[in-house]
Amino acid sequence: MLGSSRYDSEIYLYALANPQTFLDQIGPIRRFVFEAAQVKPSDNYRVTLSTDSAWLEFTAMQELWHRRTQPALPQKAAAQKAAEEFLNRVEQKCSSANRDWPTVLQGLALLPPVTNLRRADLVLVNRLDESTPDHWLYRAEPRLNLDGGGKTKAGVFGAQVEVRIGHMGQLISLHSRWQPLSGEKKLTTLSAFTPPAGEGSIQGQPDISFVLEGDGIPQFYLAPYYLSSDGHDMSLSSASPYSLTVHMERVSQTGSNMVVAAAASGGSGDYRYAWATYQLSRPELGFRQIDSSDTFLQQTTPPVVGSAVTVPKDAYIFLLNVKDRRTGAFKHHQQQVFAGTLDSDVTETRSPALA
Amino acid sequence: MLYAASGLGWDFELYMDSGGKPGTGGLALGNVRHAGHNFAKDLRLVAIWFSVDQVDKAGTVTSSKKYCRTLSQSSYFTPGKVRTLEPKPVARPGGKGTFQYLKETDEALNFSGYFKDGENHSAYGVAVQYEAPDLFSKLSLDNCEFAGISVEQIFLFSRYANDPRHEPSAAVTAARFHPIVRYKLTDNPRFQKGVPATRISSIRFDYRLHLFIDPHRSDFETPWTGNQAALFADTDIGNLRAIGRGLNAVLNPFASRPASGSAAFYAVEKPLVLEVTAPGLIKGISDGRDVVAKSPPPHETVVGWDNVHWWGARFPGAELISSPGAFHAAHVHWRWGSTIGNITTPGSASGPQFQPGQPLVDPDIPVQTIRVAITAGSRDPNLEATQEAELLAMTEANWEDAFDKGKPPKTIKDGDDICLWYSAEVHREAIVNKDKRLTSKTGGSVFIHGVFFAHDAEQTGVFVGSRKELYWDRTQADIIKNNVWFRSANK
Repeated sequence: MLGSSRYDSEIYLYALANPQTFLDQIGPIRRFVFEAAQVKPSDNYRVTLSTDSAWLEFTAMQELWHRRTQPALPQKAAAQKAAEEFLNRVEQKCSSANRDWPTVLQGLALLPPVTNLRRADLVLVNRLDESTPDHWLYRAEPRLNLDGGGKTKAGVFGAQVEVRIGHMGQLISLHSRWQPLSGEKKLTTLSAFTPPAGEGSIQGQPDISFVLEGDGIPQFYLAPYYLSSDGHDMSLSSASPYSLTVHMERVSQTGSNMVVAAAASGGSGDYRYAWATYQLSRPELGFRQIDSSDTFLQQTTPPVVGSAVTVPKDAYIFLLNVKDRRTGAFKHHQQQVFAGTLDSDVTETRSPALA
Repeated sequence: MLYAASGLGWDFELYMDSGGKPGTGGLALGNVRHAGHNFAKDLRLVAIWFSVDQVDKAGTVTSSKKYCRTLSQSSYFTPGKVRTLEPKPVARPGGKGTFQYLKETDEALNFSGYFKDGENHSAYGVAVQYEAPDLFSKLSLDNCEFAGISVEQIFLFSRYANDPRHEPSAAVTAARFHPIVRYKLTDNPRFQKGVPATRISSIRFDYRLHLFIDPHRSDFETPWTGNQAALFADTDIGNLRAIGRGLNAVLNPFASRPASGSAAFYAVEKPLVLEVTAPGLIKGISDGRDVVAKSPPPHETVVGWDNVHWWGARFPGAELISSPGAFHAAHVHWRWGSTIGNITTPGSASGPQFQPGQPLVDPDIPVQTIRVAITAGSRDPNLEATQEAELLAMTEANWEDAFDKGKPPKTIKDGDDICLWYSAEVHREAIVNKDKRLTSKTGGSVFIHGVFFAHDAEQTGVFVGSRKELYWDRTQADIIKNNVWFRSANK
């Protein structure tokens, strides 16, 4: 938890860079990754950035899962050293520390701060036939300064950096589940932890972690959340006015339609919403915006504006964008909602206010 | 012909003929990985079973028969070419000054800034359409209400993300795999009412999902191989099965419930001790006792399991994956317990999106019986089956008979090359909960709940469930002593 300083109640939000800025520079980035890997560019290697989040992948195609002979693997300490040195080289090559780093990327870095990585795993992974080990897998969690004083670091849930070390200490893959930061930061207040109602007693102090939602998920900044557990269930709850959460559910089902309602929390209560859907079983139909929704007010303290939509009964993935009108806090949320199969004769099960 | 595809971090091999059509039996994906992590050795639909009733002119069933078909020409199915679905990228609106942009405009709310209406942005996929327009006349079914069937396999692969939520905790990031089979029965224009006829009473889709999650070892001295799996049934409150379990606790006061991690479960076997055949849903519901026209044995009075978890084996004595949690594992959930809705609130990121207490099935075909089996790999020698006879050898009219052939189940507790067999049988109708009639339409999609694949390092700190073995309320000793294949959540 945070120490005592003038920054105790002030914590950082980190804006995310637009991935397209990096994708536009894929040529030089490939070259720098090859340089960091100390291999000549060829079809034997794959270097990609995910199109929606600029997650970096480097794979030695002939080595990872395709090596014909048994590898001679380094000892654990050597494997760790190789992995960490490689990450340092990629960080150096793919950031402003490299004088050839593209001008448009100045001030931006492809990897999370390597010095802040928390090693989570260093394990041997078997060959496919499970006869012998195939390579070492190094996994680390990115961390960022939580408070303004930089005294406390918090992990980034959903982010991970993985390096695989194979035959004779060769680097055989790097996967960075990390969307680069834009360099813009904002200080905000740390919200008090409120145990989620209805749960059992929370075990120990909750952890605080930033949350990276994932590849292709609309997200503008990293905000902190409390991670808590009551021993048999886990919860993510808001740790700042910019750390919104969304509660969504099917509140009623009648005839051929169903009503799905959502309400955000963690912010001021004054929210605006936008809805869309897609159907898993019919991907060819694609995304559909829902133009018509109803607003309702939850009489809580403070009052919370919620939103509800009426759709034909079916199985959906709902997409919801939420904005706090007072602060600009933003949250994208996706959730599967299926029409109930056992309550077809139920008209109204719960009020739209999610009571 | 081998086709290697890559999209959204997924890699796999797909077997096609030189004309771009799938091999015998339909789509078969091999060596499936995400971000370099192994997920499966082979994924495929094995067969489709049609249960057919002969009815007299009053509609009374006079006889029944089952027909097995594979998705191949010899089973009267004509395949189309394999198509791929490429997701469009997700755009990112805005400019410099993120926080100012978000505060001053509402542009970020508008979905048109990210997605285009009518376009797929969600999943990479491979799909094949099969037509069998006169299947039932070729099977010599007299006066059948349907002429044939269209079937489409759509195997979808999603990005790695925390959205859509995979667990009520909103705390497991994963990529999803949906091996969807969509079908539509076509009417028989020559069908005559009021005379003896043939009726399709159910259609069963049998899958083989040879999952394989990398086992990890901490050093060269502790060799460990294979996978382990677990079955879980979530806790329900206030219904028959919860009350029954409460009574059991009273009658068996010495059956101590594991202190941690088990309270969310009505029943748990983690890891599975022996090979198993197990019920998941019984005609659309979890408790077979609530089906009015009882299913035939062994399903008539059983409670189904809700999910399977699958992970790289840990050596004896080592910590297992966490439950709830399982941060490096395959998760298959077809239902969440009814308490999920009770323990979540607007103040947390969790939510009852998981349809607490209800099956995650296509609402057009709700009357589904879901069965799973987990077997040792040595029972699955035809990993890359290419002949119809090999596929037919993997399935039986009575589904459990394909596994329980009179030999006792093998021990798999400490890890094995295990294989998941999943079956979804769509029934025409059922009456459940005394008087609720569930009916299925003439088409729909199975396996829409999918499988999700998390491959994170195990979390540390308080933010994890139990990493121990869990057995409730059947003990490990009970399982070994009983030594039976069929194990439900209550028997």
